[in-house]
Amino acid sequence: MLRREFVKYLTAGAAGQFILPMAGANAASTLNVFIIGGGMAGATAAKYLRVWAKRLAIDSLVSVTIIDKSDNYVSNIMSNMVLTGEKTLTSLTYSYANLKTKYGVNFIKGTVNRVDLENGWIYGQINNTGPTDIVMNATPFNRLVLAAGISLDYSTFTLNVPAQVYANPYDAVPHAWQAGAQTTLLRNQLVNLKAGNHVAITIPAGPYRCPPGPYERACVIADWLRVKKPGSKLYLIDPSQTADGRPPVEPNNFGHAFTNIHRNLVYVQNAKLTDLTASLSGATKLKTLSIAPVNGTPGNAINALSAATALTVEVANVIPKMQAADLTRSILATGGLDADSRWAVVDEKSYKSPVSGVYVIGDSIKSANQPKAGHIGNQQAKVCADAILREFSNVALYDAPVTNSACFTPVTTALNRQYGARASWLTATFRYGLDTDNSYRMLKVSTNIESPGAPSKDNFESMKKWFTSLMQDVYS
Amino acid sequence: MRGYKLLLCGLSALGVLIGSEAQAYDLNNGRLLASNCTQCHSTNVLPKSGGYDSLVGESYNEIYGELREFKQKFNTVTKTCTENDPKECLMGVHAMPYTDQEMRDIAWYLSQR
Ligand SMILES: Cc1cc2nc3c(=O)[nH]c(=O)nc-3n(C[C@H](O)[C@H](O)[C@H](O)COP(=O)(O)OP(=O)(O)OC[C@H]3O[C@@H](n4cnc5c(N)ncnc54)[C@H](O)[C@@H]3O)c2cc1C
Ligand code: HEC
Repeated sequence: MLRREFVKYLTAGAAGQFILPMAGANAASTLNVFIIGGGMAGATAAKYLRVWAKRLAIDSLVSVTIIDKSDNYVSNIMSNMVLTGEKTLTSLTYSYANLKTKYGVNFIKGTVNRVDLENGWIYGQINNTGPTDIVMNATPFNRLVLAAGISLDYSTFTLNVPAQVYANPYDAVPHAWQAGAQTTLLRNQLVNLKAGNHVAITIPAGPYRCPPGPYERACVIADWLRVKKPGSKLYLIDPSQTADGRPPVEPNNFGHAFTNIHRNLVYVQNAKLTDLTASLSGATKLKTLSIAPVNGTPGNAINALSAATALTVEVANVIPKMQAADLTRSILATGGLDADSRWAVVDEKSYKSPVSGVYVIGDSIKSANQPKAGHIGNQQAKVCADAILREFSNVALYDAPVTNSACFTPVTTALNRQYGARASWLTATFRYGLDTDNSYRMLKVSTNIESPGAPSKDNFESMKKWFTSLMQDVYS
Repeated sequence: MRGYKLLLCGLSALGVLIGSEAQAYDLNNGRLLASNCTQCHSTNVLPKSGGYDSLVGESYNEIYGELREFKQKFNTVTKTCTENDPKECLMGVHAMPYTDQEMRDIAWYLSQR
């Protein structure tokens, strides 16, 4: 806390009263927080723990360390624009340099394998070389924040890829849902298409990371195909269905874009992937997708699938079913996961897990209302950091924390001669409170709000401001 | 220096300030709630170059007044924006959750330098 602010605070205090700390108030003890995963949520938690500890003049007592597999974070947000060549992965890459130098966050590069919760030791491989199960932390942690994101589950369909088609069968189904090598793989497959070849994107059953993401991707790839690969179609296979056939997410924005702009986009609802078989036709690698209705009764006569069918395309972007990161699931296996053992259970007031000393933030958590998204992961991280500091200082937690989400989505690309690059957004705010089932959780305050009007150039400019600002809030 | 720090620590760690009059603000609450603004805005605590209109240097009255105005731009009954301009609507959604006391705590925290 700055001296001036402190004085002012004291003056204000004269009008009110301070609650005195409990005897000792942890004076002798220190916080040693280890954060596994330095993505949108983990990096934010680290930064705000240090910024706020300094502001409260307890920074000498608060040590914060991030462990991440990589010393460069590649943003998923905006990565669909890498697929269309409008952005590069380099422009979406962030380092931990600012967190280290400006805020005194410690960073260890390495992959975590397991954690000894009782004694505060983290085991894994440092620098991703050498022994794979050695102690990574020099001092035992007394708070552990799990922010390791998602892992992918391919068990919902069968994958048949002969070795002569792809040596690695998963190369037949790039997900590009964790930006980096996967994004490049999908981009290259798209670039290598011949005009008139087709592309399919399959959407997983929810909850999945970034609800508008698949629809955004369908829009920008369709836009790119129309210009770069005339005659090519984009099939979007969605397990959801709605009465009017519009997408379940951002029905106004995407509904408008699908109907009025992207004529080469074939949108199929009530449809799930059951099998994908790869084959060769000359040098061309084909993928045949078996698609089945999710619900026996189609929800509309417009685009809901009523009977099983097959579809052959040259590029198959299969976005698989998701769950909390494997590490998170193994650490929390005893008492910290939901009934399906997929997601981490937390109290959304503090992001505390039922497993003692552990907090979970970001995409790994189970939440009735909060989406799995980077902007809100950033806010969850702040609520968690605040809770850790309040608890350490014997200050009561805030009764009803607020979080907010914002997802900007490009809907057309700069290649589009008629429309230019346009975007829309989806936003929502949440507050902790008592739900109708008598449980406390984050509740929707605003509901989901879509940008008013059609996707616009103005929103595209707005999106740049938002993205720059959000990423600075995490990594600068 | 060390003693000074510890004194600050002792007092600020207790953090919660109970207001017996309207002009009392809660440091911890303001800090937490105002963190819902830093994704999109540059602030005194965390200045930056990108983002929407910077809040750096704005006074308590400016921020509190703007928040109250933006809150009006969201109709909580119909759950829609009363403004067609997407930016105004966006900010309206982000002002709507807060109570009057919360807006005061946010404005106070953000106006500190
Ligand atoms: C195409 C696309 C578009 C998107 N657009 C938006 C948008 O507009 N707005 C929005 O809010 N969100 C968007 N998202 C969602 C957003 O990217 C994620 O929700 C967000 O990244 C989740 O943050 P996280 O911190 O939980 O996980 P991540 O950001 O994935 O971070 C997890 C980190 O943990 C590390 N890690 C994992 N396991 C280990 C281990 N064992 N040891 C060490 N490190 C480990 C990883 O290396 C990674 O750095 C989009 C996502 C996609 C795919
Ligand atoms: C999702 C992004 C977003 C978030 C989060 C957000 N704002 Fe804004 N804010 C905007 C936009 C966009 C505008 C511009 C409105 C316009 O140009 O018409 C704005 C405008 C403002 C203004 C008026 C401009 C000025 O310079 O005075 C103030 C004050 C403001 N916001 C304060 C806040 C506060 C306080 C919070 C946190 C409670 C907040 N904002 C959270 C996007 C956001």
